[in-house]
Amino acid sequence: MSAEPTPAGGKIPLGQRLMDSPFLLLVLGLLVILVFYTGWGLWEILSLKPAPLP
Amino acid sequence: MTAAALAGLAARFRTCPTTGLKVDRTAQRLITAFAVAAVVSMIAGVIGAFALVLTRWQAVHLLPATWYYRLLTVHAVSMLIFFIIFFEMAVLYFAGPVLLSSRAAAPRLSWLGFGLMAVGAVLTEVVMWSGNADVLFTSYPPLKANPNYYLGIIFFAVGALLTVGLFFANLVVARRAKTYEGSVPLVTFGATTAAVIAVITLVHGAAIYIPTWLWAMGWAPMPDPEVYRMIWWGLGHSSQQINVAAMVSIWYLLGALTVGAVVINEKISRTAFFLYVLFISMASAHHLLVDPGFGAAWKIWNTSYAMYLAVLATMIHGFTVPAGLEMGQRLRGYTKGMFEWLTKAPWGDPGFSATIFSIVLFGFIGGITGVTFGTEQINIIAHNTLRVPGHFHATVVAGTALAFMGATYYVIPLVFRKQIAFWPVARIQPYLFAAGMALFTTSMTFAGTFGVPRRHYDISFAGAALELQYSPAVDLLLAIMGIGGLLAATGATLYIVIAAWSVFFGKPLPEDAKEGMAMGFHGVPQGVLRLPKQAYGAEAGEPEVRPHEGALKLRGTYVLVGVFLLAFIVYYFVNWKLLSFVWKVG
Amino acid sequence: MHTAIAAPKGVWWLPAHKGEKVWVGIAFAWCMVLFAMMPLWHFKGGQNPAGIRYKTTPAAYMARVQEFAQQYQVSEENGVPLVAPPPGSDVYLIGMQWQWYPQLKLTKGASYTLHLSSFDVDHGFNLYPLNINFMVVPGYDYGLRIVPNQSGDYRIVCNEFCGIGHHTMLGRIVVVDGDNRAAAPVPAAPASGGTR
Repeated sequence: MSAEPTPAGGKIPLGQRLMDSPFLLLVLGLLVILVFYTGWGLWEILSLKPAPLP
Repeated sequence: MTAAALAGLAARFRTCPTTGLKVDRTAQRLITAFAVAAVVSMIAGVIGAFALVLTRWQAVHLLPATWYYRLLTVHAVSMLIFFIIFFEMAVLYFAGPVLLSSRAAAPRLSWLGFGLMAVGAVLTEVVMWSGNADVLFTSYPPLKANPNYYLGIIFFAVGALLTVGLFFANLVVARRAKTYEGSVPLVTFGATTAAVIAVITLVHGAAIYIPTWLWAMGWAPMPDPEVYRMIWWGLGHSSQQINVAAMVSIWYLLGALTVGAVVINEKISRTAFFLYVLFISMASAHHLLVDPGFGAAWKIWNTSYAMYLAVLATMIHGFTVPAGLEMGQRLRGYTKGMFEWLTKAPWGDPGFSATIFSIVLFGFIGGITGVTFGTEQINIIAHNTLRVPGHFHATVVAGTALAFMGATYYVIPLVFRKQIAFWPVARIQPYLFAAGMALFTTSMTFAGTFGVPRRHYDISFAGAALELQYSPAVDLLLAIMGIGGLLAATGATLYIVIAAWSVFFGKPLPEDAKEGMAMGFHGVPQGVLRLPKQAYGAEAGEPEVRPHEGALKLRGTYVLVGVFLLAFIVYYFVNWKLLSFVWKVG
Repeated sequence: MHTAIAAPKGVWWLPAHKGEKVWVGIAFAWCMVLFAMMPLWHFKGGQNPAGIRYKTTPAAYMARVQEFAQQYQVSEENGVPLVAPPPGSDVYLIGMQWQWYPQLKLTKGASYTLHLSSFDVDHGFNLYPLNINFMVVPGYDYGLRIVPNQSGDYRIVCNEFCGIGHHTMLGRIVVVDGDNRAAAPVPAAPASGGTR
């Protein structure tokens, strides 16, 4: 596959523009991990209850 | 701009006679500094490697216990943090300013970043070697090291974060200066992925090392042990994912340089890197699968990298990289049968052989074992056994480090403009290293299935109140691990000697490549001397080769990925079977 | 075609070739299999790390362990109590530098909730030769419902670095056929080496 010339007055596809935006990639990468891994993980630990050791 | 300033700017760049790229001399000096620092860190790591291998080989049991745990700390920190991140900073300067023919932004800040990393590394090494941080690389509280241990790592991380930030700045500089047309090359895009994951890594590193340092200083309470483990692995595993992204980028780079490998489809390859950006760091959770802090949903969602989409990404690269190699070779005329493209490839070129071994060992041993026992339940029969270091030596050492070694053989002539010293040895160095690592990782993996623990000084349990005797098979496996490890550590030593000698004492290459080729010089990989047309011919006005749509005759690659998938399926379900034999637990 | 070090111009966001699409489809299907296995085993399989999980403190947990040991002790081995709890009960094990306390004597086929916690630093519970592994973390009570399926004299190996005595830290779980409170002879250690 080779690159095609930009169609006259044509737009670069959205996917290509997304890949060409390093700062957007950085924000998305940070967001996903901070929500799913770090944030949710902290919530899991903090919502543990004390053991009912009689 | 004044004439003097223009002249100054021109002097700042040199033109690479091989590739035509404009190389900013500041970037080149930074690459040199980071690469040298990487190799120096590797020396500390390799000393540790020899000593540790000769200790866990129970029949030899070289070190006393204190020094075993001490050098285990040194080995891990020196290799997994210092060596590999220093090298990756060099990769960022190559993939950024050099590949984009642009200038390195803010040279003084760049050197500050390097300086912080160097100071941090030296401080940490001193603290470790002097016995003030016998806590292993993970340094889990309540285990406590001297506060300077954490401080050294903080300095290193701050310097790295600054350097990564400057990489993003360099991308902006190149785009504004229009030093390239269109999108950045795929290698640069892969490096951008690595840089994003590096930020994720370093953010978690700061979040955990600063409170831990404060506690070690006596200024703050101890971080909760489970919270520490979770956030630390946000640094600890994500740093290994930087390595994956960087390694894959190097595969594409070396494919291009050694055999003119082509990009089959930019969209597919870049989307795969994008999946890494989004999801690969979630798998830090696979260190916490048998921990009390987290429920099943969190464990399953995170360990799967979101439904294994990041594994899909690796399987995509596992296709596109060999496919690119095959297509590149076929375009050069190696079209006979299914595998002539591979059999007639330049196996005497250490940049090429390192790449192939990196792909095979990472995929077959590292990838398959890792995804398998990163499964929430299968982890029960693997956690903290030797299966774990068996896996990660296949990924980060036989995978990433070996790819970096291959890259070094091209960086030495292209960036340092030197011939490779001890060329006959250099040509076989990847073979020695790969063979050693193959033995080392497979034997460790098998020993781990017998239950042999990792990070453990003495499996004869001398001095324990009870007795335990492992199967005699374990002794054999540890001996093979010992031999493989010695072979690999020797291969690594050869790499260090060759690289250091070439850079400092190597014969210079002439600036004029044609003149050099006319001389017929020794110690230069074939890709530097005889570049394939598709590598650099495009802008010479030659018509681009456009294979017919759909006519991707890549039979060799199809066979290889088919074999890989089969091995994956078998290994994966065998492990479920193994799990089903143990007690019901849950 | 161009190599990965060339900057692609124009539009490169283009459809893939058939061969690529086929491989991506196969790989995606495999990823879905990998993902589905975990919830499937969670609900249908016999081995899961879910457990019953609580926060605790080393002091409170140690007190509970000692109470448990006193209640069900049947003998003593090298100064460590051998404790035989009834089927269905909560069993308390603590890891500390550098031993596991107490030793346990269980009945094959009976179900127990085995609690794991640490008195000091992180430890690793590895049941030899089965290769069952769990983390033992101070401040956390990890309760795992277990059903021993084979009699034998098992060892607990610590596989999380816990200081200089780490490699001397061994514990013991004995599983007998029949009543674990009866003075039955301790069975031979399970065949060494194999995990199955």
